[in-house]
Amino acid sequence: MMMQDKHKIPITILICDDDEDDRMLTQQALEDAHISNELRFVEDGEQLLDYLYQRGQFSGETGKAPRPGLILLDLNMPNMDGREALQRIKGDPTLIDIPVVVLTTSGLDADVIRSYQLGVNSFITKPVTFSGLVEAMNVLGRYWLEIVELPPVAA
Amino acid sequence: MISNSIVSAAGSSGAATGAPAERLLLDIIDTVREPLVVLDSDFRVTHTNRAFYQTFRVDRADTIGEVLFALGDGQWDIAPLRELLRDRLTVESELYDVEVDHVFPGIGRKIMLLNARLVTHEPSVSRVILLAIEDVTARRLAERRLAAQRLELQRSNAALNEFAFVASHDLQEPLRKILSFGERLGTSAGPVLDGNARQYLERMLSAAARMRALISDLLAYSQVATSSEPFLATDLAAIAREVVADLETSIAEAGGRVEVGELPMIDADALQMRRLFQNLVANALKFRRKDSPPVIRLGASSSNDGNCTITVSDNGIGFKEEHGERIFRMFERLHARAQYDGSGMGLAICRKIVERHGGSIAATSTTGQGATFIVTLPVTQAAAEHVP
Repeated sequence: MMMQDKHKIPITILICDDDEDDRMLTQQALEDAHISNELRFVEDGEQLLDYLYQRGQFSGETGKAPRPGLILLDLNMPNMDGREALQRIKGDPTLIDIPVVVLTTSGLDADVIRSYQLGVNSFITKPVTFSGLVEAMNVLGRYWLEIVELPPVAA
Repeated sequence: MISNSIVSAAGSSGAATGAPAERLLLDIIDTVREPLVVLDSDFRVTHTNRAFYQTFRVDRADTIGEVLFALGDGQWDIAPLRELLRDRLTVESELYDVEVDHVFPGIGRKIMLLNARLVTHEPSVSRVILLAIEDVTARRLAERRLAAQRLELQRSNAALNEFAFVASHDLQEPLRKILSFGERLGTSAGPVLDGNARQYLERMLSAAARMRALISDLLAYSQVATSSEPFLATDLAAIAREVVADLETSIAEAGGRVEVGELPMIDADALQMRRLFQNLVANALKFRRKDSPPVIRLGASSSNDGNCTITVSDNGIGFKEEHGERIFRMFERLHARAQYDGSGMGLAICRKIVERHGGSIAATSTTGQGATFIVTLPVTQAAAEHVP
């Protein structure tokens, strides 16, 4: 289990992807990469914001939507897409400190540039093969969950 | 009838230039292939010519002595023409290339290009207006048709590019899943599958991987035209050296060498130039002869028509002369996949890049004798941005 060294609280990873197959593949790739952190899933930008603000279907008792320590964000989604969600998150002082990693099939220069301009913390183009995805999740886990110092998350 | 004599009306001193001079002038007017009208100060037609009668299908009898605007029961009562002759001409006295577009009830639409001149040599003599008319109806309509067609062509090209982009982009998605879940299936069920079943799965996955390569090349192809990268002054020699450095391993493995001669600076999209050289050199390496190490030469020459010619020649297997055009088509392959793998898009992308730069690409070869690719590119681009 990946911990945050200072507080020893395992972080929650929030995965935002509209595609069920992709959510499944990402989950399995994280498992295969031995990342056993709690995973939560949302399906578009609106749901992501509802989750983060604990409103709508995520309102109510605590523990329903634990604040994530890392967000994996797809870009192309219906309703509110990843670009707009990213802009909202990085525009809100209460959310800006949550690291966001774009994980998308788009490798378009325009998307990469725009995402960094909006303040994304990393941009990953989804590898084409499953083993590539596992490898990416491995590196992602080592980097974000072991090497870097993340902002402390209130339990 | 002084006002009806061109010569005297134009102010020449009467006796010296008599009837013969007037006759000559009238003959000249009559012989001119474009309609020409001479008006007096009241806009009455004093002279005109055959071309006028023919173009506007009117008779001499109904024309001479009539006010221009009243001709053909008022068919010539054209507001812009009135304004031109009444107002503008008195101010400017010479007008050139004024376009008047008018629908004549009798003969239909005419687009006319007019020159008009107000002649006032002596204050005592009446003024004369010369009006030369060029009927440009056919030309203008053809130009407009051409412009409309060009617009339509641009639109359909853009739509085609858009289609290729969207199709190739969206096709990648399900394919990635086929590959991913196939791979998972192989991992989790591999041990329980029998030899045949495992082979089916492997074949399925390798076909999917090939399709992925095809789609990704199609995407690259469609992106050549939609690239918004500006044309900048680009050092082709530096690009060629980078490409050779990138391909170093393949060149070493083949035991070959690439000789880069002098290459010019041209206005170009540097990334696309890199891709062009990369594809051409990789192509030459791939189609090498088994019995001799590949030698690839890059050279250039410039001509005085503003173009430069870049040649990439090899000593490889070459191709039959008649395939010189075919090899640049999309997904075109001259060899079985087992012999030489590839999507058949490499040279199609080369051609698309060269065409985007306003150039051309061709190849010559004789089977077994190597091939030479000849790229002709403009040295300067009108829309180029130069870094000071």
